[in-house]
Amino acid sequence: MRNLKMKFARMEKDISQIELAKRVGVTRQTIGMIESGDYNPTLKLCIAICRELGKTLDDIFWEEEENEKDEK
Amino acid sequence: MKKMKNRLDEMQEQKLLHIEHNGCWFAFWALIVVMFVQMAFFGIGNFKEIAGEWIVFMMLALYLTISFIKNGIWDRKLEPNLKNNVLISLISAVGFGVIFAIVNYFNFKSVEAAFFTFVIMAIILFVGIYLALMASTLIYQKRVRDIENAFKEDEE
Repeated sequence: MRNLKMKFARMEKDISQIELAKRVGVTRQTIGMIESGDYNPTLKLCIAICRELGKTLDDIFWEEEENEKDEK
Repeated sequence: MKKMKNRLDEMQEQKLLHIEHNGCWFAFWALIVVMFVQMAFFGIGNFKEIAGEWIVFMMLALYLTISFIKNGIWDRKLEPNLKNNVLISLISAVGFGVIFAIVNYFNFKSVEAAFFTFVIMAIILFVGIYLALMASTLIYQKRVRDIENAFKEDEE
């Protein structure tokens, strides 16, 4: 499931994938895969991303139950 | 000696573990195939020809079994119970019995001898695998109880 909330939050802050990756200590590939929904990050990385984007875990990673069911 | 820094991030680490996992199981099954092929060419009783592969295979199998049980893990899908253990023993005994029969046929070119080998090997394998599985089940269940109790104590 694509994480558009994370992508929009990153664009709002005008941060590139490379810049965000550097700040949280991962590769650009990992950030790209999280945004495209191909990788589920650990809680530790989720928190690091949220801190950099000035958002909470709910803002970026929470999904309503109906949306999750739709994806399944 | 200074420990080298891990250059991989968590996603790459998971991918690497997945690749290593596939490599480990490939080696496991490839060793079995190689041993049977060698037995087909050099004879079942010629242990010298497969000694190297057998030692590596047994070390790998022991490492996996001990690590799984130590961490309270049995299988992704199957529960360790009497029914499953009998079924796994039966399928393994018949499967490997057939392979031993084929290997025997390659050596002696006799259908009767191959059939006899199948029966004997299937019985020996069934009993051996069943006993090993039941013993492992008892150790596994004790280990799971120990792990659960350890966490209960932490909560108090």
